[in-house]
Amino acid sequence: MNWERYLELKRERHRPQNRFRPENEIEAKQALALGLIDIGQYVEYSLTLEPLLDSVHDPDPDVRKQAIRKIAEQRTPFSIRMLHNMLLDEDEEVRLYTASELDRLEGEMQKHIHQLRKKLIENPNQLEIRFKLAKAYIEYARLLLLDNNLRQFFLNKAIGILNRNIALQPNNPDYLFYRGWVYQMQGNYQKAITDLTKTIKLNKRFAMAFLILAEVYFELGEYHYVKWIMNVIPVKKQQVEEYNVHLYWKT
Amino acid sequence: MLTKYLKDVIFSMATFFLLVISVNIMLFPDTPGFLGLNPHPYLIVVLLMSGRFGLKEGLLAALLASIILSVYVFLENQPYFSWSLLVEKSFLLSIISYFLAALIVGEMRGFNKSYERTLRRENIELKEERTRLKEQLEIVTEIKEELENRIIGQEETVHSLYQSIKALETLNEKQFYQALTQLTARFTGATKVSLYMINYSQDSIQRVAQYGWPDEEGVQKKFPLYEDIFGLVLKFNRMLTIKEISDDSEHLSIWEKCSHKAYAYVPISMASVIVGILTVDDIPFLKLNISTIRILALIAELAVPALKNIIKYQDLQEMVKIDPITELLKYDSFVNVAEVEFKKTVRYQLDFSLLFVEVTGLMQIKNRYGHDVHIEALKWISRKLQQALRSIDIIGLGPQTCQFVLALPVTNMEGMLAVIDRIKKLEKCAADAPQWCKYLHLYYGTASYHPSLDSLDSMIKLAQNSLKLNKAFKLRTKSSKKLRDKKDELGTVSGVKA
Repeated sequence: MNWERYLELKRERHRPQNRFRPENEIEAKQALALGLIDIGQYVEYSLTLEPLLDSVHDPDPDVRKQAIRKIAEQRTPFSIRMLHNMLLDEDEEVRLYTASELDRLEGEMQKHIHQLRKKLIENPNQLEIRFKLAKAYIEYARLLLLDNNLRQFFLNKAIGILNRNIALQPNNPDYLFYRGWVYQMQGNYQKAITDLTKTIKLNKRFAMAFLILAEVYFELGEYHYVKWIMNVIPVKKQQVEEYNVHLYWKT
Repeated sequence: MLTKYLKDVIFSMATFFLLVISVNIMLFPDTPGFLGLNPHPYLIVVLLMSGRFGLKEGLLAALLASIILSVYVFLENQPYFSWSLLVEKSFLLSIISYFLAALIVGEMRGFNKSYERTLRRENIELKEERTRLKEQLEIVTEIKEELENRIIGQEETVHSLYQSIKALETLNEKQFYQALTQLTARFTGATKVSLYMINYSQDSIQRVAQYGWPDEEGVQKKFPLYEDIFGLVLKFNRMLTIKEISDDSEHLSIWEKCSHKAYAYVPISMASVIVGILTVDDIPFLKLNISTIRILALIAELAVPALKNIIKYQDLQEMVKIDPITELLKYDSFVNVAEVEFKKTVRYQLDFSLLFVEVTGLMQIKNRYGHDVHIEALKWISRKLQQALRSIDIIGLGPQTCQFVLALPVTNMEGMLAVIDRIKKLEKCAADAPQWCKYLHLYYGTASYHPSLDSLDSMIKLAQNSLKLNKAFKLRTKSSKKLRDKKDELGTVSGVKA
């Protein structure tokens, strides 16, 4: 028995507890993980935080940079659209940081595609590398390509790769889902419905497939299908945005 | 059934005694039972037993040791055994030492055992607390991840939304409309947003601002208020989204037919009256969620005070420009508006006339009928002057009291004289002319545009001079007429007025 530790624990139990006040977001997260602050305090603290978009115009240049980088790191069409809007900002520095972040993102994606292509040349029959390359094309087209022709070009490339994979493994839900998603992005809704329905039949827990299928029906104006899908979608609470969509359409 | 502990006690006691007895037999065969030895070796067994198990077990070991020792005494003194041997000092000392050792060591062990029990209990409690904390930590981590996702996911908070809408209060009406659509797009992720304002007097709803639409041509478009989807929004008096619309096939067909389809119609109500409708015309599927709906409701709610302030501010601005009694432009405001018309006249070489009207007799009315009638008379005159004008003409108060100024664009001298005639007719032929009307006299000062006139000021001066001359002439005419009348009166023979 470690008596020193025992006595220390005894002493700590009777010591009046001082409330820990985090100085920044990282400290708040660590304090919550260590149990120094409870959920209520964490929420209270997080609500006092400056919102990300307001930080973009913070007087401190480091805060500005960090905020723009955080937005870029989200890598969602919404955040990228926000960055594009920021390119027209009144503040020159914001425009500059945003442009550099967009360049960085594009550079990273192109580098990733290049590496995957090199790997594929070395191992031409590797299905996994081919699938990764298709995904990289889709992400690149979805997020960064504003020009429709260029976007279609990369999406078609992704479809070509996925077709070869599906020919070898016709019942792989991942391949079918991504092809369905590309069809949805191209506006080829009937093909998208076919692929996504098959994906759901193969994997009934594939929440994203449900979501994209609902989106296809939403764009077609078939709202009763959207409602039906959103009622059966196996979405978790942790997937906040998807869960909110599910809550909205739930009857 | 023997418990594990009891088995342990019996086994330990048997082992210790057997060990000591076997040591006795093997190593000390000459002294069976270690008789006469003090302290007696059985004391080791008693110490071990009481030290290991406690008082009761120690006493049991002492009793057993006493019995074994007694047996040895009996066997050693066979056939001369007598009970007096058992009260011998060495025997008694051994027995007492067994029990004393059992008592002391056993009690110590008992105390330690109770302390150990307390510690063990605390240890169990600590373990339980640790398990509980571990479970809590897992829950906390899960919630924390969810919260993090939410905080990261929402680029804006309610706080910043409130701040942004507050900032709109400094804008004018049109800027506010445009900014509201932009703000909605920013906070909801919508790509196309429109704002419609209701005009109940005309039973119409007008699109006042748009965001995300390629052309700005159709912005100021009017729609009938009680028809199609807007009629539904007014009927339900709450936010309508595509989900609720699609729930009813009739509503869906109305929505599909209307020219201003939107995924959400958010009414902006001021004192329970809908004054405007904010529409989300296009939004990514993932962004049309429960959180967006909440934000939209919040925007509609927070926009109301800002809108109220703007309307109040505009009312105040109007009050500064317009005279509250006559509801005509004050002289400074009139000059500003007339200046614009004058510049147009100069630029396009058009006709332009300025008419000064001075009203006398108002003081007499005030003295005779009181202040209220004086105000009424002022209102009456302004009404009559307005009736004589076209919609493009501008009317305002003059630089002096009881003066009115009229700017008549695209009107030459002849046109202006026609206006004067109209005013005179209206003044004289008014069926509703009150009795105090007879005290009123109107004098006119005119000026028409000529290329030699380089500014509105010079025209005003010209009109003012004309008014002075006209007034002086009329007064002189009046006085000479009065004089003539007097003369005529004096010149008649009969003294009867002609």
